Amino acid sequence: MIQKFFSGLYELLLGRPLPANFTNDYREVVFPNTGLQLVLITLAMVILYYYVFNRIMSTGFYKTQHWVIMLLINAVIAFAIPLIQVNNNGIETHSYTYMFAFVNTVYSLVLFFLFSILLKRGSVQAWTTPMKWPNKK
Amino acid sequence: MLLTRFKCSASFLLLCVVVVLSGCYTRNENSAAETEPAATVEQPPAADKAAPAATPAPEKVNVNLYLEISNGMKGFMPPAEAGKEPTVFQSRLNKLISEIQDGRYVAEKKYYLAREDKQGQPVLDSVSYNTMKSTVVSGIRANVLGTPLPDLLKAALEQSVKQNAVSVIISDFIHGPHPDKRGQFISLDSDIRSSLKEAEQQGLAIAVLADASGFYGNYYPAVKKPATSRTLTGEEVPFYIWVIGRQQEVLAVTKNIFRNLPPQQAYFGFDYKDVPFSAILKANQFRPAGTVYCASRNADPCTAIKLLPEKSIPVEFTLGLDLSALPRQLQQENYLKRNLKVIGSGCKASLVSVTAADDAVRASPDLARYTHFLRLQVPQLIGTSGTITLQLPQVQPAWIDAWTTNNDNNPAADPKKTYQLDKIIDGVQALYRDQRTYLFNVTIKFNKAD
Repeated sequence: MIQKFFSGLYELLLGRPLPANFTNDYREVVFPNTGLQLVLITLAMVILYYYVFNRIMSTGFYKTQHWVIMLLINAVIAFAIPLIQVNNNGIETHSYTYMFAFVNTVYSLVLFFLFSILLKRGSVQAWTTPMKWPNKK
Repeated sequence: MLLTRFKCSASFLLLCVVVVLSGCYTRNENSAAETEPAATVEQPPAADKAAPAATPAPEKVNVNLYLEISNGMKGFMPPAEAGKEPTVFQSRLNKLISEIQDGRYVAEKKYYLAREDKQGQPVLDSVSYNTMKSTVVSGIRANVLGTPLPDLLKAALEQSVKQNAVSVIISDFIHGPHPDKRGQFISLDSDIRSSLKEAEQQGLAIAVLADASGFYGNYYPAVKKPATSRTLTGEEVPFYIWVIGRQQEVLAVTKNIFRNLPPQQAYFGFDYKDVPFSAILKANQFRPAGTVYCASRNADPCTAIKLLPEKSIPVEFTLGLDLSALPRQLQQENYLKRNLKVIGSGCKASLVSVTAADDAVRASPDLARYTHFLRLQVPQLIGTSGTITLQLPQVQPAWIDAWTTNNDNNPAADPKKTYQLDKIIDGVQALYRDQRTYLFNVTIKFNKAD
């Protein structure tokens, strides 16, 4: 189920895995692993920003530029995960691998933004970062 | 306060990391839980008795050697003289009996001289190694009549089956029926078949090796016109060595005892139920082309695949086979390329090439198990699933026709021919015709890739 979901999600933009002989490795291992890690790490980064830095610890990192830094760190991680996954599973590196890393990065940006919108209202200092919408006060 | 907050956040971070890592699927190549079900489903049980490829070659075999001694065989074994080269027959046989007697691969050995008694019945005289050796090197002195071919084969076979030994029968295989029984010329193939029926019933296989040797002396052709006998001085006359026994034992004998086999070989009744094979899809030496991958990620061997040929990119992939149990001659790349049949059901499939394992391949642990690599091309699927079957049919070797004649009266003009050899071979082939059409059969399943 999770395998199908993530395989579908990545193959939507990437097409069939290449080289084709590693199709199973991508679908059964790499896609679900990468997808799960992407979701969980992005969630962790968002929580870290809104709830740790800007609620528990009350650091001064509440500005949009700090949010963008977190977003970029998350993007770098998201680019690295596919490469690490592909390497660790003995799959031949192919231009597909880098396309996959790029797509994962794009997904990380979207996901980070989504989680931010959903979770920012619980933050004390950063509930208006990156913007006030949709919270009203 | 700050410290507590920090502790709190640290434990939270830790929690996140744990959650992230535990969510991961891991690729575990040796995971027994994942590999085994696939393997058990796709592999037929190998412990079955009818799986000769799985049984290892026996360490030692019992050998019964039968040498036909008749007046017609004398010319192969001229008495030795200083400065005179031994005939091919003599040197080959000398090596053979020496290997049987003193080699390390034979357990029980017995030697027989085959002849006919006065009543026309075949007689097998059990003799010592020394008698056999002196017969080979210094010839046959007594006047002996050869026994007709089917009778000789039958008697030798019965003897060996009783003693649980491999028969090695050496003769010129010139059929010489009793003058009153000329009809046997016509029924030669069916007579041979009847005489070897027991071999088939006992599940024995037959290897026929042919060689030609210089012949010195009186030659008695099967066709008696114009001459009933001719005196030859070194012209080449064929002789045959038949090895009859269980498949593994016949192979052990041909491999370990004969060592250098003549190029003329024929194998009958050989059957490999369980040839190990696998689709090789991830090796660098044999990269597949097009969309093809193993149906199961961890399957080893991979016997089911998924593929999706496209118009511009036909699927090509390599199949590894372990054919080490086959007779050497049948392992040759050219032979396999010529004779292997690829039958696609639900797809079009063809054989592109056959390569034997080279050193680079043998060095790679995943590939070392296989001796031959077949490149298959699948340009088109017809159904969403099906099979690709590889078959090696039992083929009559070309030399049999070349060594056959219908008139052996003048071997000087027409050397290296045996009267109606094809008929003799037909008789042998008829034994196995119905149950062993293929030497081996390998089937790989496929599904259209999703």
